[in-house]
Amino acid sequence: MRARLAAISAALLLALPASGQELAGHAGPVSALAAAPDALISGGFDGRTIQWDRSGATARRILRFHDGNVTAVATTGDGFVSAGQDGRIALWREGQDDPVRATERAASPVSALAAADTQIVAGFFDGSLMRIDPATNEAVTQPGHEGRVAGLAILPGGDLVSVGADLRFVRWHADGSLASRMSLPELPNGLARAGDILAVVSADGVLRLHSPEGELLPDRFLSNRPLVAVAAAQDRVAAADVDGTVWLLDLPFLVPRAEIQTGHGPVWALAMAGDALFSAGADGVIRQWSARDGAALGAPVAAVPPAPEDASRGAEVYRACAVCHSLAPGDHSRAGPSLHGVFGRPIASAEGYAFSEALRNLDIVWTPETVAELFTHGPDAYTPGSRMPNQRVTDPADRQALVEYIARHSR
Amino acid sequence: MARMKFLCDADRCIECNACVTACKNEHEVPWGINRRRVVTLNDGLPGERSVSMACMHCTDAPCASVCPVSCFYTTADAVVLHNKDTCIGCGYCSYACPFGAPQYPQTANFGTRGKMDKCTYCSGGPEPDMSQAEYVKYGANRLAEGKLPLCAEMCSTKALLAGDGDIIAEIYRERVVTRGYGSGAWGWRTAYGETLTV
Repeated sequence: MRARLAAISAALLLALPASGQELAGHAGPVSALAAAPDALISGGFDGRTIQWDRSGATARRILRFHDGNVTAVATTGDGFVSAGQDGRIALWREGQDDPVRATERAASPVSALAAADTQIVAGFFDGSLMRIDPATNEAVTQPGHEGRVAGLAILPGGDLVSVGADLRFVRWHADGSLASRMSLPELPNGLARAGDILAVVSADGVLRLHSPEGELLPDRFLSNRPLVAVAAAQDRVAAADVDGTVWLLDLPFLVPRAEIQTGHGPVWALAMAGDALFSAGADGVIRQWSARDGAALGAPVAAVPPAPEDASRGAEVYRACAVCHSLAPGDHSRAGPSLHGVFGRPIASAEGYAFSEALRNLDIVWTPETVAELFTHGPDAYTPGSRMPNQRVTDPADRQALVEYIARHSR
Repeated sequence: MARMKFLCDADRCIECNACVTACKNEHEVPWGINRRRVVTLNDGLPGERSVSMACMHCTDAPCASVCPVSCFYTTADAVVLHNKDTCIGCGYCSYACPFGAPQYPQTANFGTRGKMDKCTYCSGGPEPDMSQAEYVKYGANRLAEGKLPLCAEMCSTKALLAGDGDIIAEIYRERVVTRGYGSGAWGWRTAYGETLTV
């Protein structure tokens, strides 16, 4: 297998602050977090999976294995697991640059992961479940839900609990057979386990606790906005909504302990370990909070710098491009390459970016005219095989404004 | 201008899936995507009820607030639509949606992200009304023809109502007063930030 992996020494790339501070390494939204007493793993829209050194607040390994968003991560006893929008699941061990096991691409993105010593389970957007035995690497896929698997948790005895877009809370035996099934009152968006308590966050802004059998335990309305992330550890649970508010509550009665305004857009992922709570989301920065009182740990760091704003129509049109492209020289940290110096450059020639083979075989030089053509026809037609989403700018005036904006800011 | 809304009366839904089928047919929705689905709660148990779920075209729609490329917009009829020319298929709208409405396409080429797909309230997209380009990307534009969404038109028990929010809310109130009970208009508070009181 030709692993498309770049394990890069973080010391070369990232000047990260000292212990306790925020972690900035993703160039785009962070979608997934997993924490253990000595580990923190993150996955993001930039396609990176980052293994952080918690004691030094530095990125130990930056892995570019998945095509597209890294949608779920989980820690294991001797490593971690990553999964993405490409439907692949990769098992990583300490000290190895290649995954010890990687599944094939799937038609459906992975939406949830859970890991224990004896099994790794992935849930997909199409509702299927995949169980991987880490000892034998054997993978078995089975139907799970009708619609997105929103959360997974493995119970101490090996049973699995899953929640899905079909509003079902399902308990499965370790062999994959159905143990019990309950209805949920609202759409679940995440599941976390603390001992025998399962915490489910829902789109109606309610955090609900369940027993492993699905029985409803205490619940608490937290927000008028959908809750989208949850984490639990020992006697505490945290939940976050799409506006960036994080609630920290005591188990088992959901007594509020702290409310944190992260202030940087949606929080897509939470993780807890020991006395630390980690949150991350739209701005790509991982933030640390005290799991005791919600106090911020460490000083802020700068998020991904926004694209230059010059009050032009081109700047407005370029906002969609800025999610994946930087204009800074050599900054290929986002999902796509830097556009610095793009005009006059042959396609797929920017140094330091791993272009797809389809792009390397094309014979195009980027000029204002060819860039306008790209957005007239869309990448599917103009650069077939590109990983770029099929963006089109249908208004000729907007295309012209975009090209002029790139010309002004890519020099 | 009307404020268009959906209302799902869970006490009337019989899980026939006509709304799902009508939607698929009307818009030629690709394999692997359902813009509307029927979910049954407490299946086979006392209190069983079904709800027809799709984009509810929320007031202050969470999908729009989390989209990193701002591809969502609200029409004059208060219908929430998205521009597939701008969408990058990141999927965050899907996480934010209270109804699981935005769907990942399953036909995109390997290594590429497709475009999210969702209910358009049968009102097309940003292309010219009833154009071929609009139909290919978004499906039929029944609103431009003066018609309501086909899912609700097709509903044999009128569990699913579409139209001006004030009018369909009044229809639901009359039903509850007449029959003497109601388990609530499913999703109404979450979508529109108000309780439908009777």
